[in-house]
Amino acid sequence: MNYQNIQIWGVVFSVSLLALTFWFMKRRWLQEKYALVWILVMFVILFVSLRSSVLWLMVTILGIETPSNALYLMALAGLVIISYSFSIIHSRQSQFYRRMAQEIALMKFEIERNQNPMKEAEKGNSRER
Amino acid sequence: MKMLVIVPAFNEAEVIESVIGEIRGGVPQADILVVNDGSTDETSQKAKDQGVWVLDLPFNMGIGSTFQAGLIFAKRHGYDYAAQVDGDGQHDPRDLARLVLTLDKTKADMIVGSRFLGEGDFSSTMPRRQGIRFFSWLLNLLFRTRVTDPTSGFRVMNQRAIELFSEEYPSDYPEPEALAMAYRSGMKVMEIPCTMQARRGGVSSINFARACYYMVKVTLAILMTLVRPRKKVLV
Repeated sequence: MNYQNIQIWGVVFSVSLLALTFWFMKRRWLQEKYALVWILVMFVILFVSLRSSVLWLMVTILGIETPSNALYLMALAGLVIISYSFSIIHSRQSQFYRRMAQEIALMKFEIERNQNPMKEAEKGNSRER
Repeated sequence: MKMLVIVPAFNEAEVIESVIGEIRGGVPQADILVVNDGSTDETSQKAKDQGVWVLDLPFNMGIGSTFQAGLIFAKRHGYDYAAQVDGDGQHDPRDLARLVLTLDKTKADMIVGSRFLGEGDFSSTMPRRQGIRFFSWLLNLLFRTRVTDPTSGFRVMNQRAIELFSEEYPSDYPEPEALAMAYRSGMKVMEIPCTMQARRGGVSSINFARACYYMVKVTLAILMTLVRPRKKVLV
């Protein structure tokens, strides 16, 4: 792709993903707190696609061959950041789910025990008889 | 009017007893529900010892989810009014009686106690005040209101608001967004002046980076309420 095409690609890509993000937020499928990282990354890609100076800076300072490569690199880095943030979020959520499941099991025990107070007190649960 | 006072509390063992006592003094006719947001101290036990109901959340979820848990309770048990009084002692329950009277008399759906309506000398840190002023400006611009304290959690609401917020309530820094949701669904919100103490027990949980993040997130959330369809709340 020549340079003007890569700019167009960058704008289309970032604007489409921004539109998608707002669409999902509107339908409450995506919460604002998780949308923020998408919005940030997509705005950066949009800005960089429109103003090529940053890409040329990367070419000279980082030794990247062409500005389109630099744009691809930024988009890739952005998506990696987003993926990473979701891995972290998933990890925290799985801790929550585990704890909730444990709480439910403990609650069920309490409820069942309260429903049959006399029987439980008589029987106990010891293996000895 | 059957009223529930919801007291979100996180590690407020030092002050929870006096808060409960003051609520009983201010609104003796109300039921009190302390929602324990995963405290690691004896907040829950101390509240239970005072004879109030306590919901023990399994882990810390923040003020939004905590208060909403109380609202779900209020809805399920058919309360007419639900009030929020924070467990840290910042809100003065004696003002609560005034809030309730105002709710009885006017056609508003929610009465909010505002720190900035004249009475009392509530000094907060400068950045916080700037943040609060920003949200006042934003909400007043978008919804043509005159709110002065959009971050105040000290409020009473009727069944329409209970119905709306028990279904959907923001989880972090919920108050400004909740106001936007209320306005958007056609509810009337009134403010009356009240005093708030500086935090008596515990430590504030917000630092600068988090504050910036919340400002952006809440602004985005408020703007998103405009994009969603109006929700008519029928009770």
